[in-house]
Amino acid sequence: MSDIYGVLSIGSKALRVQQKGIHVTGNNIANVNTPGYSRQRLNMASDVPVSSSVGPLGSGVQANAVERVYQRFLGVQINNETQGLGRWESYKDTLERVEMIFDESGGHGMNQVMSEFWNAWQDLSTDPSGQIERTILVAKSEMLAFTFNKNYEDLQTLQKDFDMMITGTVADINQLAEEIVDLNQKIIQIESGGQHAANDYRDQRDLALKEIAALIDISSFEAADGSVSVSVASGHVLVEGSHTHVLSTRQNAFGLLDITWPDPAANMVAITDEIAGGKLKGWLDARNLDIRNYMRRLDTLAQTLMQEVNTLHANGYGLDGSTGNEFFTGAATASGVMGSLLTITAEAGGAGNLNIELIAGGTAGAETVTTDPVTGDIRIAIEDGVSTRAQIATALQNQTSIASAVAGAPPNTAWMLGTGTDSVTLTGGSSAAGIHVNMNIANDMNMIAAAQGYEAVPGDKPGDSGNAIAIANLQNSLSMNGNTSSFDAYYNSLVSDVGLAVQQAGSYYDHQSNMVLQLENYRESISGVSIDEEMINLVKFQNAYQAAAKLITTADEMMQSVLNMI
Amino acid sequence: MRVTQKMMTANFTSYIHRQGEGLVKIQQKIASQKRINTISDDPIGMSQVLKYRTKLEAISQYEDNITQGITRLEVNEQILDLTAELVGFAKGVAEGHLGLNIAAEEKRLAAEQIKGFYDQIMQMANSKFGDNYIFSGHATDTAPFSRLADFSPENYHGDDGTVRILVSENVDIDVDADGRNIFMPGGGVNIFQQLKNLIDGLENPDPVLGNAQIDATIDPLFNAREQINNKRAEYGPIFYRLQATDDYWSNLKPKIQDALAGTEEADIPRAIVELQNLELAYETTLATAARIIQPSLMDFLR
Repeated sequence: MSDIYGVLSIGSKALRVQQKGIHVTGNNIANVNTPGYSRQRLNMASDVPVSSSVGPLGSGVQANAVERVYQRFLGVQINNETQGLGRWESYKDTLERVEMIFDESGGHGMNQVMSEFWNAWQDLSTDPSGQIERTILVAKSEMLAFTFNKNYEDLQTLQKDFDMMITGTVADINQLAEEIVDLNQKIIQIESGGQHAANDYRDQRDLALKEIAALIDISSFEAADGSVSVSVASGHVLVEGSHTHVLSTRQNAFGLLDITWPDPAANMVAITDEIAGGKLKGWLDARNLDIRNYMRRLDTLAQTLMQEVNTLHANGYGLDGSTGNEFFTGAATASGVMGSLLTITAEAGGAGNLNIELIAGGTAGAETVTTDPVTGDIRIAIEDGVSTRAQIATALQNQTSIASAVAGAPPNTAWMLGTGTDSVTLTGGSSAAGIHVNMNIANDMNMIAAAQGYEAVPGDKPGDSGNAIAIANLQNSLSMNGNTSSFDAYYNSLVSDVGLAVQQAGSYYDHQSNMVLQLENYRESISGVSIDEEMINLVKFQNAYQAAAKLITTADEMMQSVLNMI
Repeated sequence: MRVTQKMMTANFTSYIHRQGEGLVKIQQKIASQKRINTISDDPIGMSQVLKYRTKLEAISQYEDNITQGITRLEVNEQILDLTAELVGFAKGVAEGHLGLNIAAEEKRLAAEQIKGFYDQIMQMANSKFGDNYIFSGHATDTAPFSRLADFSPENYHGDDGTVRILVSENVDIDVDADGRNIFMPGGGVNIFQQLKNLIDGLENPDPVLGNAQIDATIDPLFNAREQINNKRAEYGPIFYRLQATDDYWSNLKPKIQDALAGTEEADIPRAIVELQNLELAYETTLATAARIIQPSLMDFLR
């Protein structure tokens, strides 16, 4: 076939293939800024040679396939690191908002207000019967109470704010899951013959996976048919072929949102604690651990301060001889119903919202009660089916913070985990949220007990400042942390901890974003479109095209020569 | 390594953001003159700053308390000084009117003078500091001393409460506010009673009996002066303690203020040098970006 037609055929194939090359190049240039796009290249090979008298003779070029330049491993790595980036990003943003609540740098925070509160007592001690001193004391105390209320409520609001973001994020995840299912189907269709690769759809699917990874931890694997299965939160299936499990949210015992996943029997299972990455992890960590921890410490501070001041105040005497009055009111009360069997009724008690959880692994009669150091949650390990309600109640009554809230002698029946409700929340309010100056004292300042004693004869003791001095001295007493630190030191360490957490989150975030940038650069280095390169390719294909055209002209001329010979 | 335009733009964006962040921080530092603008700038430093601030607040309060205490003692001192003087005058009057040949009219005038002294001393014993009686212990709303129409003194109306001045952490200095210890101590001289006796003596129509009465007041009045001066001497060390504590605080205060400034305040010259460095880096990055991002092969293909 080494005739003129052969040359013509080579020329025409070359024209078509080089044109395809220009097409692919053009497509690359067009998508230079498309997120997730991997550059494509035309696979060319020489066509099957034909036999001739001089041996096999090449018969031109053929285009095999358009393939994308891509490294699978890098994609997985980017997804993993993106989970980390999402997590630290949202965690850092959250803590920065907490930091604003505890902003002490300007000198107008709780620290200042506490100093002014103690100083007001000292001022009262210099003139125990002075009306101005009393008025100022009440004003400063109200300011202190207000600051407690405000800081605590701000933290609460922050917690609630995250619920809105969590709802939005869950909706995003579901939408991306739908998108992946859609792309799965398209890819299966295109690749079913085994000949072509669905390059663009695969790019889009990779992008969707990366977007999910920024929101929640994922793992994915590709089936033989090209479809990808995705599971989130440590192995809960989100996408399986063309089926999605739609995530949703529901309110938990704290009034905050849990993320739920439908199991095969369509039961909604809470997976909040199993989420290990992505923005959701950052928000959940900040909401469930850090913010709760800060709230609890603020609460403990308010509670102890209230107790110490009240105890001394109740021992003193007002100008009107009144005694036994509380200076602050609004201490937390614990109340709530524990399951359907154990009843917790009485008031008074713990700091903040208490969560009591029954877990397996205890011994009947010696149920171990542990308190989570971060959140203050109480866990009681019971012997499943053996521990009785009375034993559980006894163990709980040993916890001073809730003792009075636990019913004395519940019926003596064995308790089984998983039957009915074995996790219960005592929402008893909080001292930091509730603290305020006793209304009676605010209305009648003579009731402020500055005096240590009172005598009917020769009269009252308006000049006695003993109690005011005793209360002012509380500033330096080691009342917090099991009598190891003062109120100021306790609060200062809370502020420091917030700062340290922000600093740490910031450095994790910086590290992680550097890492992702590096990986993206690697990816870009392999899969990214380089304009210069494409320009070179364009010139290359154009030249080849021109040469092929010349080949055809030459063949035509040859043909003319042959015809002219006749 | 293959380098694409997108890599270069992404890197430039990242550098510029990072440098922008640095510029914002340094700008904040210079504008606020503070090194710590958010807690996370230096969490440990922040907690020290809070500690120093609390301490400074407390020191100002102690200083206020001490000033109040010192003022009170100065008022006491003045009252006692005047009282001692008046008692001395009274003793002088008693001595000047001893003898049987002094005219009744002269004695009557002297008695009037002593009555004046009596009321003045009682007025001073009933002095107030602000709205509060100084010498009635804790019963600061009750005048501690009073007399009947015939100048016989009534019982003390106050109590034995002391004035407590908080001068330092858990340290308070007690100042005696029990008027009895000055004017009518148990076992000491009841000044008002002696003055009353002197008045009685001067007004006694029987000159012999009167003379004896006057004579009997001379020694107690002498002792009364001593009694008052002893009390003044007792206030001396308290005054000194207050002053010493005040000095201690005023020495400590600037040291804590220095420590606070050292922790909290920005080192401005250094911050400005830092700013210049950042500025240079920022501008260089921008200039580099402008040079590298713009050209492509297209500029050279015809």
